[in-house]
Amino acid sequence: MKNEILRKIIFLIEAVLSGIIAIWLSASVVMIYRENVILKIENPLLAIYTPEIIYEKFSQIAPLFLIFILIAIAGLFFRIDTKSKINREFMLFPVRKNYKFLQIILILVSFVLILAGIFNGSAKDVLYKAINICTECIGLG
Amino acid sequence: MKRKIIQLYSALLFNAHLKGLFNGELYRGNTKFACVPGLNCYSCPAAIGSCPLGALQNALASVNHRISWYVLGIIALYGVILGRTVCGWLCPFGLIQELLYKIPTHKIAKSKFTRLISYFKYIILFVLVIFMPLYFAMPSFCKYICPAGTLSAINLLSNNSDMLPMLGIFFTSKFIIMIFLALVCIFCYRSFCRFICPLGAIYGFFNRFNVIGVKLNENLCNHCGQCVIKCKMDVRFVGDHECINCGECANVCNQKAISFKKYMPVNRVISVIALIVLLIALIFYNVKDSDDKQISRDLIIGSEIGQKLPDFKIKCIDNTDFQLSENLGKIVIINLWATYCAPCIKELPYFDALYREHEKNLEIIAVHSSLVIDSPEEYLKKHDFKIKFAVDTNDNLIWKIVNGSSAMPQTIILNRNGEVIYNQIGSVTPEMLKKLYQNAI
Repeated sequence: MKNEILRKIIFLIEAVLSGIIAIWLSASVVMIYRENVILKIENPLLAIYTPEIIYEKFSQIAPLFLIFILIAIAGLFFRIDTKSKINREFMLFPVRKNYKFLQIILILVSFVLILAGIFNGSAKDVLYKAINICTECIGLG
Repeated sequence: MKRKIIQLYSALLFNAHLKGLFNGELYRGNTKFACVPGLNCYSCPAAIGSCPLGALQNALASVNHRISWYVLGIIALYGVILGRTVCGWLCPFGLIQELLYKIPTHKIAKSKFTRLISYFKYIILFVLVIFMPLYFAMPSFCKYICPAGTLSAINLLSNNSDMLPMLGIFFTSKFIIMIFLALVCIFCYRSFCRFICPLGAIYGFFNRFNVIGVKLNENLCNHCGQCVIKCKMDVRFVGDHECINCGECANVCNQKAISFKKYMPVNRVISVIALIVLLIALIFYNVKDSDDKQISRDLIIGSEIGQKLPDFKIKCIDNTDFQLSENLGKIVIINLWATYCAPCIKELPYFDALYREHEKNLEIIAVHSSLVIDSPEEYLKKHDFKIKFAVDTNDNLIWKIVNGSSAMPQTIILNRNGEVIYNQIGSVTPEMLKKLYQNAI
């Protein structure tokens, strides 16, 4: 009983802490962006994110993150329950079919597509785009 | 436990270029033409292969919309052989989510509601992975959502602080999305896989007839439903489109009715072979594979702010020559671009407009990467640009001279004395260009 109360308390603290850290991290980046985007409008050469600003904002979260890690380690000694809310009528029991023929056809088609791609240059496209990345395409800017 | 080892193994194998994590250099070798089965962003400095989802979007967003038979073939092959077994056993991002779920706290169980929102990933697949890349020529899922890309970008940025100035609204929003997803994954098992991942949605189409996966022996099954109740994914039956074939249901089945379709015994011989393969990969990508395939950013001198670039001469697409020393006294802008880079194409008109405004005092040359997918000549025929265009040589001469990055676009601005006043990766705006021009005068 005592253990169960302790488990509930630890899990609750862990849940609250993870929420606070996530909100704090998100708020930090929004603040950095909002503070500096105004300056950037006046001077387009200014950087919104600098190592100093990032360090200043994120170092404030570090102690909380450390506490979170320590409580998480303590919490590992307790069991985690998840009870699914699935009714039996929600389940399906379909009749399985033999898909061997379809598998063979699809594997052959895949190989034909791959070979066609190597010959039409689309394999080369993949390589070039992967080694010379477009920064905006990965959300950098 | 066996599954965790395989997940760790594949994460390490797909990201065998470990030295990239410490020096921030992307791997630029030939193995990047191959797509790995799981969500593994190729902008991660450790990645040795391409992400199938990124490759698919980039192919759809390509300027000439060449049908990428290759990517379709690879995805279909992985789909037929593995289906969502990839999610359960091979995807590095799946492993990260499972580790987050291990954080001890109250958990949200699956329900009819989670089952309903599991269809959201199909909307993401059709809107962000298929429609938007085709219509807006932009890999939209990678650009706006992908948390694997954000994680890779953070690693890239931590070793390349010169990339920080390019960060803006996209990074801010993607960072918040990543944090929010990480938070949800702590409470709700594999939330990203279940509700968002378009790659999982694609593999889900193949899950009924994949070669390797779980199967139910109906002669033994007593329809107790324990397999579905105990499963943390939103499955309605063993092996449906939500099933990641983790095999945990086999452990709860009293009738022993659930097994793998193809059973691969993980014995000592196979373990040793797998270990040798991993060791060879780690040695090859970190020790043996020399830096000559990478554009080393340490060897170049003279491209920093205040320095003068070494003189160079390059043949332009219109058959004229461009020599840097001949333009001393003018402001020179060098732009590194490629036809397959949408932001590069977007900013070309800005350079052209600036050039038309200050033609007498300004020279602009846009140098296309030596890696040519769509002919730049064909692209330029459709546009009336006055600025000069050239394609870098195979030796990446211009890239080396200006300290060109593996990331594009990049802009270098020289003042009238030929000194570098700006050398940045990332897109520019017309306002930025005007300001930079004024600074250069």
